[in-house]
Amino acid sequence: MTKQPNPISDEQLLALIAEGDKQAFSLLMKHYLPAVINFSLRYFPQRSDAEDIAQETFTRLWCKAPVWQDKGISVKAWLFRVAYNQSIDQLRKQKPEYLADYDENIIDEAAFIERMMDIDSRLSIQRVALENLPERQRTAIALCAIKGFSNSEAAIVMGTSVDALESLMARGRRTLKKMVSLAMEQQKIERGVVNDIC
Amino acid sequence: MISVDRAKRIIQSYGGRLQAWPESERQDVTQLLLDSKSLTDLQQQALVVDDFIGIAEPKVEDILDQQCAERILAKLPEQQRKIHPIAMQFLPLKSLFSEKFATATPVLLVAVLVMSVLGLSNGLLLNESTDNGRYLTMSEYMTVYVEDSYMSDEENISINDEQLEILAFIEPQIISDNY
Repeated sequence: MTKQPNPISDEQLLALIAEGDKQAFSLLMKHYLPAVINFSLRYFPQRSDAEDIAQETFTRLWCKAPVWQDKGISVKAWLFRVAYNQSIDQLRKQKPEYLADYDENIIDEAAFIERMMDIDSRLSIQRVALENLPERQRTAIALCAIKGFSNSEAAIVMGTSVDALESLMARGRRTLKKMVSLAMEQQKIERGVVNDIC
Repeated sequence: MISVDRAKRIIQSYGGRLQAWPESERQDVTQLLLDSKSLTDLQQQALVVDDFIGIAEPKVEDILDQQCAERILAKLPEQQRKIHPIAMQFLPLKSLFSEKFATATPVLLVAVLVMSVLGLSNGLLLNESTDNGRYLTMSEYMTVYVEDSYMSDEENISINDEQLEILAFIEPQIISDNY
């Protein structure tokens, strides 16, 4: 399922979906399903959980299409907002402590290093680092830096203001910067150990 | 032109890549970068984090997405439908009426509300003089209303027991006035 540019706009597709056109729905899904699944994978390690979120999101779009009201939210932002809310609800059910209030500026460095030592590829280090970020910081970064959302679109998805979104991203990036340094230090130590052994 | 502080904030929030910055401020940040060493350093640091974030995107597995799409399509429920007022269904010029009523409904509601308020205020004004300009309470108004309607103007009409019982049910004060 390769993402291709949509010749028909999302709004036109939505109008067709409202008439019960499954082909139009399939086209819209082809365009956004991989992104929605990937987005949900940031909250759940299991792909099946992310697929459940995507299924619920697209089914909701299908049901709502005939009564859709244009409130200035794009279809893309609406889809991600639903997926985001669903993911958070699901997380609350699965592990309430995960979303409990805590100081977002404190990162558990020891836990990060411990997890980092168990993994070998660079890609995994990045994923662990992102997973270690507080939920809202991670979502803000994922939407803007990875999914290419504009700041106003990302703010709509997260139900917040652009100002607050920028704060979340700045704090998230600051934390990631610390993690980059930690990862580099760790790699240096590991290299040193290997050299000593050799 | 944005301030240097704002440019810093943009780089700290959105990262070091020009494409990531808000479109409306992109040109200003680029301009400021040419003149500021501290901003350039900040951008370099941000680019390291960008690189760190950039490769964190998990790979999309096309075949799995396809299967998921098929599953979603196979389980699609009934779509929600717009509910039209039942009366409209029977009107021969439904669309014309729908259109007119769609805009007229709030006007009608406001009109009914205004009429109610005017009616009530008129009733109160009529009764204003009955007690030295003081507005009557609802119970006093009921008593005066009964007296005015049934006793003062037409003395030959009297309230029968049944009427009185009904009125008494509404306001106990009427009983004491009539017995």
